[in-house]
Amino acid sequence: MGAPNQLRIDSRQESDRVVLTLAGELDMANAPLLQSAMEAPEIAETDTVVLDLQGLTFLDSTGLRIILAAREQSWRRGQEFAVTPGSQQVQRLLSVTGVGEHLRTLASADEVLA
Amino acid sequence: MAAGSTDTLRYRRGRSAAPALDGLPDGLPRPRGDVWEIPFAADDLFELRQLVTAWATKEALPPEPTEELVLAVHEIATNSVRHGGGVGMLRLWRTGEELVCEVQDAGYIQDPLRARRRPGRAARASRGLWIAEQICDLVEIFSSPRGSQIRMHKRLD
Repeated sequence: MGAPNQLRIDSRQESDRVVLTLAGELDMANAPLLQSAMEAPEIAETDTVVLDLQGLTFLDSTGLRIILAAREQSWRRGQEFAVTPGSQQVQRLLSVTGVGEHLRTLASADEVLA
Repeated sequence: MAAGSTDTLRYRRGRSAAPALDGLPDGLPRPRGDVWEIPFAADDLFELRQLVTAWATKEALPPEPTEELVLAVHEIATNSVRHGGGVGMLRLWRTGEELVCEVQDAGYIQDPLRARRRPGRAARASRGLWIAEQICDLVEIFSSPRGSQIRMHKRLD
């Protein structure tokens, strides 16, 4: 049946950060999109990477694994890494897995990091 | 699913690559009454989520438990695609008090207890079965070298 591509990622560069805005669903089928977005040159050079999850309607454990891998990649580069809260389903997955409490979460993608 | 006279209602789709799987003879006891059978492969997960959402909603499961059941089915079906031979069979039925979703595939879970343990924080940790356990009222596991069944129960009240 070949489901349509249900994830869209937009990248926005600001003075101290790159914001990747995810809209749609992040699961096994489209997790490679996020993996390749993390390889963009502007991401390698920024101080902070923010994944804006506010438009993310569905996240599964594969997507979560890719988000955690993105965080590890940022940490290896010496960058800060943060997310914004996603839909209820996204927040529930983060809470059920216990990952949410270990993810730096900003109220909005523009919030200044302390 | 509307009541029918046949024991099993098979849901046929035009384009899915997945073959139908027969039940495991020594597996979990077969449900009585109508069972909706949906073969699936990797490309079908999105539609599987929509289908379980529609079915659970029609069976009057409230939105939050529906969302949980859909995530549980999705996680287990993803495991079938990744580790269980690439295809699987989803079976849906209703009892008096609960909705039941079963995923069968060709995978063999050699250590079901280990699969149920809380995963660590490493990015690569596998979390699917553990997540299903957290958000369902009961998860039954049967596994043998001939295949596995993961049966997820969600109470209707």
